[in-house]
Amino acid sequence: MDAIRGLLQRPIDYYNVDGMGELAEGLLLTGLAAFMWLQSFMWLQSHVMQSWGAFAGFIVLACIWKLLMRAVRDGSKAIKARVTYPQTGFVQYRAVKKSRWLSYVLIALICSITCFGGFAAMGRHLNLALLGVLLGLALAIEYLPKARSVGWKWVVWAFLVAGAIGVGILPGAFVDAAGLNAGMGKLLPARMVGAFVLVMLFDGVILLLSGAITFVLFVARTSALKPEAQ
Amino acid sequence: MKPELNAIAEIDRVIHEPGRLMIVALLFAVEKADFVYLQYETGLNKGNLSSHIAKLEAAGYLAVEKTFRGKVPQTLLSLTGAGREAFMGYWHTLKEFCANTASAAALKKEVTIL
Repeated sequence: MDAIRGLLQRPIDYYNVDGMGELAEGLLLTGLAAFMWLQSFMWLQSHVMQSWGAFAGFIVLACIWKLLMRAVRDGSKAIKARVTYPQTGFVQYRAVKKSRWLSYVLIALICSITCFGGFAAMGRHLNLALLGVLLGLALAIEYLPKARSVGWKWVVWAFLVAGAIGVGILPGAFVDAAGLNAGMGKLLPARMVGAFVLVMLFDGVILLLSGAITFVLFVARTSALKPEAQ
Repeated sequence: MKPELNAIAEIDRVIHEPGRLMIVALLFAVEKADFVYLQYETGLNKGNLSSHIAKLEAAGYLAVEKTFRGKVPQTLLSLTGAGREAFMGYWHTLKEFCANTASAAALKKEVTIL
């Protein structure tokens, strides 16, 4: 029974067999963190916020965001088509049902309302860096299936957990500084933004490293199967 | 036959063979996959894999689609509706059998203790 369950799980694990899942996620997280810093230079910190310059800055940011998304989506697709599929085969996944998407949205809504409810109830007494810790732990939980599939990835998982906890015990002034440097830090509490930025940056770099190692190991270990196998 | 063993007699023998079970279980989780992927995951050689695929196709559980990826031929395989139902049925039968045998074993143990 367990063997059959394992077989059912294998195609899902296969998505990250070449490290593309981690590379995409890492690029997205580091990109998001960098994006928050970019805002401080291009939009909120500048004195042109109330002029056409703000609009132009917004367009530039939107273009950078679009480019980042394309790099994540098309980049991983291209590598899969040129490296992974010729070596270990092609897989087309089943489309996610609308009902499942709705449940994801519902969970995200409940989490957001709970966080903001907690913030409103506890006000100044709540250490807002804890929200960053929660984000880091959520990312570590999301990583669990990948850690289960390959033994050495438990080390990566341990790093993700340590990073999340680390942000919680960092000096408040340091987290505040990270938040104030990010554009959103001018609108939202600096400590919360700082904790988010630090967690995203740390996890992003760890995932990029882990993805790169996985990719190198994949290329080194798999030998191309001949097309005549078809 | 003992009632708890009835379930196992009804098991689908086309799917029950280990090689074919691997193929069906791997394809159950996806929309479609190619021959190379199944070869990589199952570790079967080309001849064995082709033979199992032919049997599953003959049973109506598998759809085979021959295409090209660039200039390279590609064989895409997917489970048909009947194939999905057969695997679900197989899975339920197996679970039922395991549950029955476990409860029968527990009963036997209790009787022995008494």
